[in-house]
Amino acid sequence: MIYLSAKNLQVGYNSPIGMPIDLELSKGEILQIKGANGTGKSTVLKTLINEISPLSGQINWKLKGREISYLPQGGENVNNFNFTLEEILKIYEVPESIKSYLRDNLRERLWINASGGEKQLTLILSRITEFTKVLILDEPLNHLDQNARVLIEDLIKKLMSDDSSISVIIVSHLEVQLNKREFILC
Amino acid sequence: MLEMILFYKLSFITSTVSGGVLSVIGKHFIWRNKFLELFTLCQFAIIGNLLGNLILPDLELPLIPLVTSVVFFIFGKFLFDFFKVNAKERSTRMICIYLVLASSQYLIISLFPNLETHLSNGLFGSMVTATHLENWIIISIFLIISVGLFFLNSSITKNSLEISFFQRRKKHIKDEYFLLIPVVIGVFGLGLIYTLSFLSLGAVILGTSFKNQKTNNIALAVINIIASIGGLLLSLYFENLSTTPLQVVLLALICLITKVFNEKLLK
Repeated sequence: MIYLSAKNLQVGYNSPIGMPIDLELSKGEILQIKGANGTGKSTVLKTLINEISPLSGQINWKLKGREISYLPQGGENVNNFNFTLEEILKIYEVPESIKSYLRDNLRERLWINASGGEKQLTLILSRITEFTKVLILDEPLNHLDQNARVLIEDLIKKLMSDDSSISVIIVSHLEVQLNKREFILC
Repeated sequence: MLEMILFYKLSFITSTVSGGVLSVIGKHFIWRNKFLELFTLCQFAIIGNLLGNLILPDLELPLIPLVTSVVFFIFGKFLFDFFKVNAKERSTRMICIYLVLASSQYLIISLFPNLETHLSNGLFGSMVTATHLENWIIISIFLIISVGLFFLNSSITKNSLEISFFQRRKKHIKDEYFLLIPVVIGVFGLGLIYTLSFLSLGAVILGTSFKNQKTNNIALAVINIIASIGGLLLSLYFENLSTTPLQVVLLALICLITKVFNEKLLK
């Protein structure tokens, strides 16, 4: 089953970034969008989720909006708070079945004391609802060391092995150790 | 002393309600990195208050300064959002705007010297000298806001985290207007120094001092209320001491002592 097809899609804010692209995402598939800085990887994602209007071309989702979950790229943030990782998942109303992906010993850990990988893992889980069919991740491995990357990759593998209907789109300029199809922007 | 407390009972209720509500909303501005913007917007409210008091003698409507404060504050917020002044390099921009607005305030004072008392009240306020009407307005609005916060707390917190984690601003400005209501009312009735201090000191000093956010929320509310009531009580007892500065210094001291003790306990 095809979840997403984009044809002749031209992305950009005011002027086009790169060449028009054709994209497809099937059920249970991992698609990695790669490309050098400035090739419009994040812009493609934002266009796919309708945060930015396409300059031209067509985007056809076979899913409802609530079945598409998007994790933007993190930036410099204010962390002057006392949230535990479990409290964050509670605020985002993450289902209990998804919360279980957070190990028991991490639940009470304060956000400020968590490692980069643990934080990213929590943010990914915060995006998943009972309806999620496509998980879109923008540079989820940025600024993470090797161990943290493995943590995130293992989470994605486990999510997809537990629910075969989930597909993942990852934008990353790094090599992702997952069984995936690559789409290179230039 | 008891007679004095009874005489100022409305001021004590104001200090309790305002202390509690400001502790709840203050952290959202800090998590959203909007505190400097808030500080600058408050200068709009003070100008509105001054102009309201300038036209008050002609209209004889006691609520005019409150209305003009709110109008100027919202006008400032609208300008910031419309021209996206608060998007990039906002710290520098906010300081520049503050300098112009503060200068405008003193220009107004030099043209109308009789407004100087109102400027001083706009900065320091005073629960002790507030009229019954002013106290009731503040108490009523803060109570309504606290009911709203009870129901909206979860979605407001989620928005604050979204902004803190991802700097996603576009879709989350509506609740900011809700959070700004008690701020502008506070600046009008309680003064800039009291309002901004009780919004920020606890959240900044004790922001990361507890085992979870739920404990943090409760502790900050209790500390804010104790400092506000305690400062008011002390200023009534020691007549030479001003209320607002005493409340603010007491709040800072309690926060710092709590931080030190908490860190020792956690070790």
